[in-house]
Amino acid sequence: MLSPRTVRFGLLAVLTALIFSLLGALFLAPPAEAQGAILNGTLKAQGESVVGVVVVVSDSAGEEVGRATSGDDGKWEVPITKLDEYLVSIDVTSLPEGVGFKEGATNEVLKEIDAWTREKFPVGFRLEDGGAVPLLTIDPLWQRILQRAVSGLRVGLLVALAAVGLSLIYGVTGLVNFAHSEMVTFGAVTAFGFEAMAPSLPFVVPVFLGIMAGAALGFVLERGLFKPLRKRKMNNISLMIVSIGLAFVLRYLIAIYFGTEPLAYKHYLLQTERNIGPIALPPKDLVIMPVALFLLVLVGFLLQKTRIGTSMRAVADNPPLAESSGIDINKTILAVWIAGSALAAAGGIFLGLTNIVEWQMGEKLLLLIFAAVTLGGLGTAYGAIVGGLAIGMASEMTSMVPFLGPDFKFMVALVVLIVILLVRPQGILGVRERLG
Amino acid sequence: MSHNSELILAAIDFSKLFGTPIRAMINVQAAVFALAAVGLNLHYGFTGLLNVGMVAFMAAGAYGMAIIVTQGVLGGSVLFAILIGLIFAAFIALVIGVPALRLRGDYLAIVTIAIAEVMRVSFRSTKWLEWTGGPFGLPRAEERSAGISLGDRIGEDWNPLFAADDPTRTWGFWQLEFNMRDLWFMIVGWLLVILCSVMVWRLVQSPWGRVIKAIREDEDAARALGKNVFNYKLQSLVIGGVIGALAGLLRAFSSGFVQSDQFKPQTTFFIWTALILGGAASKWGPVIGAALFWGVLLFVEELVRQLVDNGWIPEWLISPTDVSQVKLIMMGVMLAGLMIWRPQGILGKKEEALLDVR
Repeated sequence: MLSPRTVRFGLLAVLTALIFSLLGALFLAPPAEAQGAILNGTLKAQGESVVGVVVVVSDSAGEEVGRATSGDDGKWEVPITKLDEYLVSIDVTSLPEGVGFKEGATNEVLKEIDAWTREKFPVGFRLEDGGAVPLLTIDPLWQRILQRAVSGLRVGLLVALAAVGLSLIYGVTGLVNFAHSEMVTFGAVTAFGFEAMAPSLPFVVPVFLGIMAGAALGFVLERGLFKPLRKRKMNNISLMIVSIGLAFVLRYLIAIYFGTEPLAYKHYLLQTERNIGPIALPPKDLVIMPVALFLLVLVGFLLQKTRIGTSMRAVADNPPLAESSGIDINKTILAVWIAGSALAAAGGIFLGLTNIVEWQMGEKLLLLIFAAVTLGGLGTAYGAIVGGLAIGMASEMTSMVPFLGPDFKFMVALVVLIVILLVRPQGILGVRERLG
Repeated sequence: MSHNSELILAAIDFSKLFGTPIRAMINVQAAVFALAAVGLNLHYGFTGLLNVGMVAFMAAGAYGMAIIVTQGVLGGSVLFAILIGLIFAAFIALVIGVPALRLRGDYLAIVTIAIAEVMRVSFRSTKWLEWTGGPFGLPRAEERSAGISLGDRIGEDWNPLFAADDPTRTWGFWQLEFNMRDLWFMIVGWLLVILCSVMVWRLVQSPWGRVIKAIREDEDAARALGKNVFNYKLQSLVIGGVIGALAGLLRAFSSGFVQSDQFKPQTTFFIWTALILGGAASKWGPVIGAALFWGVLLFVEELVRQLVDNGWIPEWLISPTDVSQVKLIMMGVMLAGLMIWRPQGILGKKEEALLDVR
């Protein structure tokens, strides 16, 4: 029923589709910007914008690098291009009548920029009008909720990308793969390596190579490790423990050869946030989110419409029945490993783009992935997607709850995991019979 | 060729190469892991519970005790604090067990590691800084820099070897010199290990033990015989968890403080490797496994370090700053390799070492 040719064709289709979607999307992406950032701030006294104040920025040599005048909303921005310690000062003669500095504050602020970790570095002055307490500006609540929801969607899409692979692998082999986190890191790190080797090429090249490397890792792990072990009739619990060992080996190999320093991709180092209606987003997010969404839709399409996808679902559902109806189980498993690993790599690269590339990035994500997969139902691909989005949303929304702070982002996801196992252990889309 | 190998031999510091691992094998650290492995042995080895959150019990014991001591409850009584730590661990076992033990093995693994992480992150959070010391741990940073340690009462006041007029006195020889405080914790620790091992072994030999082993082999069969499988599993989880809490307490007292980073998931995986190395479901497997685990790990680390320092391993392959990471790669290789080629470890029986979820 499923000839080697169809398997190969299916795989090829998955990979080319992956590639083209990425190529397309990343060419649309804005090009890399030069190194640099923006020092900015909003001058306010008692909640009122202070207009027409001159802010002067000079570098450590005392050289003036730029100046700006606060606008109608009290905002000012001065671009900087090198890592340095800057002295930001207000020209006191430009201050409106009656506006002065709060007790203990002066017209000068030192700001050290030692890494291009963000697009804008805020600089605050403590102004006051006549002596009342100045207020912080806070966006209205609905706007903050919307902003959080968008970043929840982004986190959710990335978690879903990584989770689909874990869930599919569990579905077809019954293995809870603890090394999946390292497959995420591996993609991000190899893309970083390729970028460093050829920095002049467009970013889509290292991204593509990183995903390919991820697919290759999946191939190697299945053919080199897990298939021989399955042949030895090792059970899934033992294999799970083997995958824990494997995770350590991969993680610390990455720690040695990539280093333990967190790094950012050279392209897309900094981007000015753009306002889209009420929400502010860096343009790269506008690429990452549609691409991730597209990949997930593509996965759904391939699972539903192609032969290899159908056989993946068949094997996940009932391996003996699938085998007896002529599906080559080993081929299917191999395809799942390759596709799952490539998707994990893609998730890792996007995560590295939005945050930072780091040897522990996958490990930090692993429990969120587990939570997503369990929430959606272990072994179901669509469940992993739904679960990923829900977990991303839940963890990003947490910081909106007054009592819970950012510390709890991660915890909420885990609590969701534990609660779902209590209430509906088969997950949202799971089937009861999967449980013992 | 022979000239070359003589050179290598001459430059290697054999005293350190063998002294460091042997010291680690008998040190408190090994006793801590042995104790935790004894607890895990009851969970995994005898009951077949895939507990990947052993460190949660250690954290419960250590933090339960440390909070009581630093809050000065009952005048900061250490014995009362230990009791609270153990009760807290038992409580955590119930919190994990009641929902999770109804699930199949691999789900249990995910839940236990998740709960362990929830606990670590909550202890680390600044929300309850007053109680837990947040990221700084307990005793609080300023108290610690003033020389206050959790281990003072046990390590000095209750230590028959310790003389207040000569606090720096040591005992031992070669690489195995220990100060009186460490020596005391080693003695107490290894005594606890022996005590718990014997207790677990007696338990396992009892009718109760035969039931949990039956559950490990075939849960449905045990249920068919009218045994309340869930209750037996829960009891096993609580007893093993309390032993794990003892390990956490021993670590807290001997190091003098608790801090959330001591309870990362990798600690659990260390314990797993130690248990599987020694042999799950055996009497002395966890103990021998824990000692050997540290021995092997530190031998490899020391060997690689000396090879790197002498330039026999080129810098591009492993640089001096990476040597401590090699140890963890070694741990991963050990865990996976043992599982593949010798799942019964050194002392276990093969037919008892192979679990499956179905």
